[in-house]
Amino acid sequence: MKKIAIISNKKPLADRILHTINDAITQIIEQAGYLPIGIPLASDSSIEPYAEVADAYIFLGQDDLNPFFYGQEPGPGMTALDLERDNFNLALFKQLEGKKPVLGINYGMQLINVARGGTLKPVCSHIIHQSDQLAYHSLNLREDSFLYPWYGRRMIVNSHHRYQIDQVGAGLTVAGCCHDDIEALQDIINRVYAIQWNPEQDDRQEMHRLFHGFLQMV
Amino acid sequence: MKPIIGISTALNGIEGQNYMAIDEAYIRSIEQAGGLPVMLPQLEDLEMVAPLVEAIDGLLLAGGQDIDPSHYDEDPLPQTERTSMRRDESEMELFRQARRKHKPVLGICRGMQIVNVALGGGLIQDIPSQNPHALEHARPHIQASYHFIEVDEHSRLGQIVGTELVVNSIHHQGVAEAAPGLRVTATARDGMIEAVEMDGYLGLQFHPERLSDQEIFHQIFVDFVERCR
Repeated sequence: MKKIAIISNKKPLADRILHTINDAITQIIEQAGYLPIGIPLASDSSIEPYAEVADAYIFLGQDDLNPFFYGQEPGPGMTALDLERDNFNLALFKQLEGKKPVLGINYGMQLINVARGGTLKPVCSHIIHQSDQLAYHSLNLREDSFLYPWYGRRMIVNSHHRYQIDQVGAGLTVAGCCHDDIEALQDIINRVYAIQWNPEQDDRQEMHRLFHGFLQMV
Repeated sequence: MKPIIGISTALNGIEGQNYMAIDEAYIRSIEQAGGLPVMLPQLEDLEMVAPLVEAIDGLLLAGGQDIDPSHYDEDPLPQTERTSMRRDESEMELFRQARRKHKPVLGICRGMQIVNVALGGGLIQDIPSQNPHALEHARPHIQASYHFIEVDEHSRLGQIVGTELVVNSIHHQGVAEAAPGLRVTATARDGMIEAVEMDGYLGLQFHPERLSDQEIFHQIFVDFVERCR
């Protein structure tokens, strides 16, 4: 049975720090007949063995990536910067590249872009990209997008991010955009797929198509 | 090769989303002892637990919420706090599958209690109301109490820590009597069961993961990880 790794996030609770994985995603993976396994944010010495424990990897989160990694200073409104987390995720992604399929969601997409030398910029838009209500907007997909077989030319997605893709990293191509924002990236040859929105926080059944599609590519 | 240690998770609601979560203290303790920690989500399809256990070298059943008393044929007392059938059943199946495949198991606090229940034993649902003469085993807001335990020198725990130890204590439920097949290897001075063992399994009522910066508690994890190789 194929194993799908979800890389954890850190959340403080009382006097403890919890390492968390989104339960909606573990349930989607389980219901699709794959085994979900969580990878905690551990130390560098664990990165190589972590790259061997699963058949595919999902990076996700809603916090911001430290702009240090793309040569900029932190801007206003950035949340929960965590160098240790970013270092671990970047190193694990680099270890996986070309070897295992990777799906990046929100923080995960920005991480992949920065790992490939791309940059981010604050969201500047009349579209609400950072509403607590996860406002929805539309997205245009090209025929060569990994999303096209499941959604066609146009789809509606939620939005909850403070930063967006600026320069696209090496080897990545745009797989979906709205009129002012790159919303999906891909590197088909290396099986790297990335989206800016959060399908795991979207109750619409059609959002499962994306996960099922990714899992079928494993 | 680092042995892969699967750690059971708790369901936490945070900011409107549900998460499978574990305390970082478990992750650090396993890593520092030479293991590779992975998080095991609570599976709803118990048929999938066997292949999940196939993927790990050892199982750590972590601390957490109360266990539903229906599993040991009791109705809940008013003091029994919120339970989760999904977590109970998922962890009992994790334990059964780990036993079947001869993979070492470490149970901590709730982890020791769930194993006792899985093996047919019962629990004390609420120590202060059911045993008013007991020591203080819990303080509010997950602050630990500390007390002595006496350890059987011929046990596995005794070989690691010796015959007497001061431990932390963060629980209001406890093992009422050891389930068939388990041997009690440590008790508090009030008689509370603090450690149980059987071949390939060690259960602890205290929380070594929160004390593993001390060598003696770190060694409990080293012993466990080494057995998983």
